[in-house]
Amino acid sequence: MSFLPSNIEISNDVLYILNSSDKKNRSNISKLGLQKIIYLANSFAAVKDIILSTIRFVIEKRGPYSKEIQNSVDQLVAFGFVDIDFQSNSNKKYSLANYSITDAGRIVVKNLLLLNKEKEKSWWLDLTTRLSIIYSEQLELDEKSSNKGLNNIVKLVYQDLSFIDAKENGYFRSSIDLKNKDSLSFNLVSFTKRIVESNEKLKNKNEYFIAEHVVITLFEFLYSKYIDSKNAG
Amino acid sequence: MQDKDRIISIHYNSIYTRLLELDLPNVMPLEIKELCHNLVLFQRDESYQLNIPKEGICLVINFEKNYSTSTSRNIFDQSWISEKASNGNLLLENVFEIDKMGNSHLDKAEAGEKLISPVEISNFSIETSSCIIVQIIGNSQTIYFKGRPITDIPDVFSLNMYRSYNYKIPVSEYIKILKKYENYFEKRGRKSIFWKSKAKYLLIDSPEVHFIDDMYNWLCRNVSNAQIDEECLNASSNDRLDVRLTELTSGHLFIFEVKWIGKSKGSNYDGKTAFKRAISGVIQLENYLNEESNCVMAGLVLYDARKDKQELEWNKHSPWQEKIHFPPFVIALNPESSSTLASEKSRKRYKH
Repeated sequence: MSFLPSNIEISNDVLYILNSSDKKNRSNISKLGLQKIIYLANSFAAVKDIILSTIRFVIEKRGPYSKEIQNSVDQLVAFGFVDIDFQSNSNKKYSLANYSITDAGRIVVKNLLLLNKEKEKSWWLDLTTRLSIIYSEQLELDEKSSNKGLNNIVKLVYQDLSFIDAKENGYFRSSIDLKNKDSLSFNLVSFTKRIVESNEKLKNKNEYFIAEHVVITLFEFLYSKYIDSKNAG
Repeated sequence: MQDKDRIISIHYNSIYTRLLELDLPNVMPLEIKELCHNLVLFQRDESYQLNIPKEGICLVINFEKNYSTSTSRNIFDQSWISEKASNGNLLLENVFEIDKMGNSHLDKAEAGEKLISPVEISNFSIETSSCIIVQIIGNSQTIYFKGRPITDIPDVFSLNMYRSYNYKIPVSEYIKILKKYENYFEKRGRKSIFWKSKAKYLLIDSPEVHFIDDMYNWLCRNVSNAQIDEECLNASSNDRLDVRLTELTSGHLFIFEVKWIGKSKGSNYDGKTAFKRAISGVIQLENYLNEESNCVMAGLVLYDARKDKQELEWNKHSPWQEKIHFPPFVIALNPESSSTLASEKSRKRYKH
């Protein structure tokens, strides 16, 4: 009998995100929040040529969704690396679940981080998670917000250029191609990176510093687009 | 109507950009972003709003330390300020040293220090050069680094002091920009940050540093299409330009030299020396223009803190270079309140 999840790469990604949120005293992450953080991490991966596992996202009612992620999370719960903190089926449309990392999950993360390749992935997902937490809290200040906590990050994901493109040109449950180098998101990342790297004031900074600044700029772009769309609507 | 999200975003970004430019050692952009987030949320939070300290608080943020221990308190926790206020501690002390995550240094917090005036804070920030100092008074927030205010948010809930993007002024309309700055400075000039003794018309030591910062911060909030730099190097010499605006589309430069006349704690440029001092700024601009071929306009911004503000005879200096704006922009500093100034004016007008 195997105690390994079927897609180890995605499972590791999930554990890194839950570990990052745990360290920021955010005890748990919702099902929706988890999906969207992984989507953003994939959408911006070209910032530092991060190699993440190939995940197929499709257009669902509440933005991009991947069944593979949910399967991995369910398996992590079954193996005891992740806890479900709250689950309610009162809303028949979708179940509400919040996930948190267990002690066993923390030990797995600690061991994984002994590998250099994993360190970089963990740093990348930590960066995306912490920024998602910041922007969710910022978005939660809006009294009209119906979302709670990290669920608010969905508002930024709706502004992602590849998602908008796939939604306008595709159909319900059609897939979003995040690896396509001609995609709008990929071009935006390259453009932003070029502008930031040409800034004289940052020329002595290392690649991680530049990458963090580029990702912050990209989040700010999505946030700014969200404000514009809210005001226009 | 001001959009709440837009207000938050603009405040966050203004702090983030300035802190990033400080080039603090071993501090990453994400840590700066989290700090900006915590600072703005702290001030907007209900627990702060219900317990606003009368004399404000000063957060000394030490980027080189980590004060996280099992017993340390995080000042960004909502309960921290309520507890401090209910214990009456905020009346006795208002300086709290924290690390970049907000964990407080307990020994410092117990020292019972108080810093209130901008001059005191400015001097304190020279002593603690590895830290930034955040002064929070009511809804305003000013950040000091190495003796200088690097950001100044007049109200975290409002953009009234900012112009929204559509109403910002393009740099090519620099005369309008300077006129608006002059109007803004009319009230600002009474602030104690600039004065050692208002009664004696005595400015603080090296006031030009504060004038440059003040003008720079205002321009950042009001100019639409330019990169704004303060105290930056000239293109091909070691001269420092006080304020430089680079038009984003054309790359044209607009440079300003800041000078002051009057009396300060260490210098006296009043009476006959005033004109000499002022014109030295024009000569400096002439030298800059010889090196900066991209410059389309150079202007002298003269802060006049004299009690007797006699007209300066600019025509005495000739020839006046074409690219140097004539006459220079003169910003008057008056320590008296509006009502005192009004009575003075009416007394002069109707003395016969």
